[in-house]
Amino acid sequence: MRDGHFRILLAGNPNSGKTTIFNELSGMRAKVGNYAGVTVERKTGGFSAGGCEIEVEDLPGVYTLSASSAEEKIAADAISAGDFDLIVNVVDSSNFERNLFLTMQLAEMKMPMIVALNMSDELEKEGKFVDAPALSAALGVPVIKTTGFDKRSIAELKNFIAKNARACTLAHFPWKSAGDNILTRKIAEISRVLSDALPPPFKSYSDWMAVRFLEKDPSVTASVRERAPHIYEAARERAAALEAQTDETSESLVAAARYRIIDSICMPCLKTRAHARTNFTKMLDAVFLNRFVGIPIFFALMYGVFEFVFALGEPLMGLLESLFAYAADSISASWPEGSFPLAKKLLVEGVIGGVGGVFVFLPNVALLFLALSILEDSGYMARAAFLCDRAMRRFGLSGSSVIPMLLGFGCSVPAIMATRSLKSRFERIATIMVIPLFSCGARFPVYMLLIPAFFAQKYCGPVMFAIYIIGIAAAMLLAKALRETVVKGEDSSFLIELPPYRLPRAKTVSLEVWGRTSGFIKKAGTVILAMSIILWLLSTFPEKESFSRDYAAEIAKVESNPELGAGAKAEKVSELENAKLSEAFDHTAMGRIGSALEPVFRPLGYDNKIVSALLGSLAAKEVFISQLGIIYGSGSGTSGSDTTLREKIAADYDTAQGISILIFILLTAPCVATIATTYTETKSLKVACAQFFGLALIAYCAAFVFYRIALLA
Amino acid sequence: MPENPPKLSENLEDYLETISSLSADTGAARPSDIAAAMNVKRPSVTAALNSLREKGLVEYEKYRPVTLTQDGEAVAKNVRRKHELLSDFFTNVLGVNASEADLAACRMEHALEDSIMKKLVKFLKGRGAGMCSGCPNRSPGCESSCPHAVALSDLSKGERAVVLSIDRKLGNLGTYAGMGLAIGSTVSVLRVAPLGDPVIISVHGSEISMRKSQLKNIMVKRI
Repeated sequence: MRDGHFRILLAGNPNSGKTTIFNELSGMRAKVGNYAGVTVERKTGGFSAGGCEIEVEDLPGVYTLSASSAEEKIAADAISAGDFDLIVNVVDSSNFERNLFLTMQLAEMKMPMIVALNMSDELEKEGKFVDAPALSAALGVPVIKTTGFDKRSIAELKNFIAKNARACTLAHFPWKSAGDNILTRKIAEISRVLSDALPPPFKSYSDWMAVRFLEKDPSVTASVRERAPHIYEAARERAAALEAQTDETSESLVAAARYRIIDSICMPCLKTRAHARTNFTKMLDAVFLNRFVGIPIFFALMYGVFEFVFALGEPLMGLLESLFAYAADSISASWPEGSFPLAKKLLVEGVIGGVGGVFVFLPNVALLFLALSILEDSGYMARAAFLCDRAMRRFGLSGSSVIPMLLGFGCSVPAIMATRSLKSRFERIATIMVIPLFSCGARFPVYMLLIPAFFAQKYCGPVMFAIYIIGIAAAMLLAKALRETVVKGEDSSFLIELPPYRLPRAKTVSLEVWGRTSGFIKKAGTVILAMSIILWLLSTFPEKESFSRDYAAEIAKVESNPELGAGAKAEKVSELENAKLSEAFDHTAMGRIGSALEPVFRPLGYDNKIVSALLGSLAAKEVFISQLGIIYGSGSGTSGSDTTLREKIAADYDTAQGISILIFILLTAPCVATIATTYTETKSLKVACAQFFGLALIAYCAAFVFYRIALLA
Repeated sequence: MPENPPKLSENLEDYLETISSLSADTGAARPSDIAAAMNVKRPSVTAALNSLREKGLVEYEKYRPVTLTQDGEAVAKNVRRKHELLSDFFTNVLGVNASEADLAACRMEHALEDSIMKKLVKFLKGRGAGMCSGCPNRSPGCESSCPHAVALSDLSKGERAVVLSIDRKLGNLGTYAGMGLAIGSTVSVLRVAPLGDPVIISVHGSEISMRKSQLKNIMVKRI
């Protein structure tokens, strides 16, 4: 490492407040990427303190380094790679004992490390505190108390890191205090065996390797087996002898011994100062997990989330809508008459009409992500998994599938990534397959556009809710069907931690919401912009020169007809305008593609405009709106009336068609980004193709049925 | 174990214990190793071995490793049990530190009559104290026949227990251990989901949730 430049790793359990500390340490300078080969998020950042530049890497939150999941393997590999100056082990003080299990594993490796006792304020509320100097003496590593969101505490932590990055004492080998018993004797024996095989600079690693060997850590055992098969055999023989003598698995013995060490050397550092106050988490769980009201509360919360997004988002959306309309109008008005008429059309209809149509949903999307972040950070998500497990198992899934599925309401891409927490591959594939049915945030704007066009204001909320419920029902049925046929078997286990309830921190939540929302903005600025321009070109050219009817004359005739009332007049005018638009659209490239496919979609009640919008929505669901916006020339004042896109659609299609479109959008093949994620996550082209075509087929059938029923009603 | 084991001197019991642990550790107990382990001279070892051979407790020929007869093994086992029991009593019940407890147990194990030992066992069982390592009836595979062992899934809400053993069938034991579930851990059942499954258990200060089908693989003893 260069002088004054250090690299540190943040390691700790999930829910230990590690992310908060990382956010505070790195400020807004954090970079989010992926670890090579896998899609586990890799976060790096940096800060300067005490005259040093310090680079921070936030390792995935893990309970153990035994390398059985992708996250555990990444954390273990990053630590054994050794290209860092200091490990900062974040420990949740309020869950001291369990968190120290990982600390013990780190201390065993004799790497330079410090312990950050996080959330010490929470522990003090319980009337307890950790004697940091005593713990430091017991472990042989520097210990500091932190409060993740307190500025002063973070400043202290920064200086502490800078001080220890230069020169840090190595931890005591904790097994020294385990006493003399059959397990420690075997560890010593295996350590001697391994030590003979290791090159001199690595001889000191033989102790922890022996412990990991007995824990059956796959990466340690594999590397020993590869490099020195005879040593591997010798060590394995001793491990087998240990198991035979004690009649327990060696990993159980190691784990039990580790907790005994924690109990004997660390637990004395946990002191009680006063009587514990009432337990906040226990009180909340008594309500949220109650036998009778727990599940109703779950549904009420979910409904509350959608009401929150819908009701609060609507006025903000109106504001943005008028802003874009104003922009379009002022561009049209100030454009020099007669120069580059096509550039003007592209800007007003293609860019503002297409991108603006998607942008107006920014408030809703941000609110949805806000609600999901709060649910996640407060600890309720894990409770949702607990409550739903029994019901999910009926459909061949587990409670852990609930969290990815709930994330699916935000976006299918992170949701599919979140299925990594599912241990069983079959369960995971089934979950991935049905995630797109959990209507994602990108479809939401489409519903926001269409539902008020076909339903009265007071029915909008319930219809929206019904759409989501239909999606969920379809997902569950499909999951059951898949688990009974294609991916059956392997009744996996369910294992999650229920973290204590915590008030979500404004900073953490806002960073998350910003991260996800900026993703949406980026998408609107790139993919959707590009798609908008392409679709505009396809939907504008070739231009229709002469129409079959003289619409302008007909409109003028209606306008001047004294027998008609104002309302009837407006209706007739908009009918004629739409007829003109349809004729113009039929002539364009997109119109022709749509017309070619129209017979296929005719049974569902779609015309070529809807078909073309559906095609566009394969790139991203929001493009559905952009495409309609382009076709109807929204955002432009050229049509002579100030009706919005929604009103034009309402005039052009009836409610039965509306229902059919809504159902199709809900169930159809997901966007390309989702399919790509499915492929990278499952590494199976078959699964990705099955998802694409399977869902498209389901959507087609369901939309057909709904359309026919709606026509009868 | 024979009906009436011959009464031995304290010294000879120590010899049997040493031979037993040497053979368990290294596979063979040579007189020189015995002398070193007990910190005595070779002639004393020879005299003691001859005495034990007369009582039919060891098999011993010059220049050959010593082995215990079946009776000898039984006596050694009995002494060792008393040692563990006393040591467990001192540390877990009286709160004496481990090394002091070990030393005291070493001296007292010879004086402890079998009848008193049985009463002590009864007392400790009644308290439900200690874990398997301190259990006087500990033997390989005893969990399956332990009269106090139940599956964790059989516990009802609010009950506390100590984990005796974890079946390999549970899956990746390392992950469970990282979340707090290990042999010797104290667990308690906090809550059952509204639909009857899964269950929340509290272990090492954290709350984790599992299905009953998984809890079946964990044997515990109520406390």
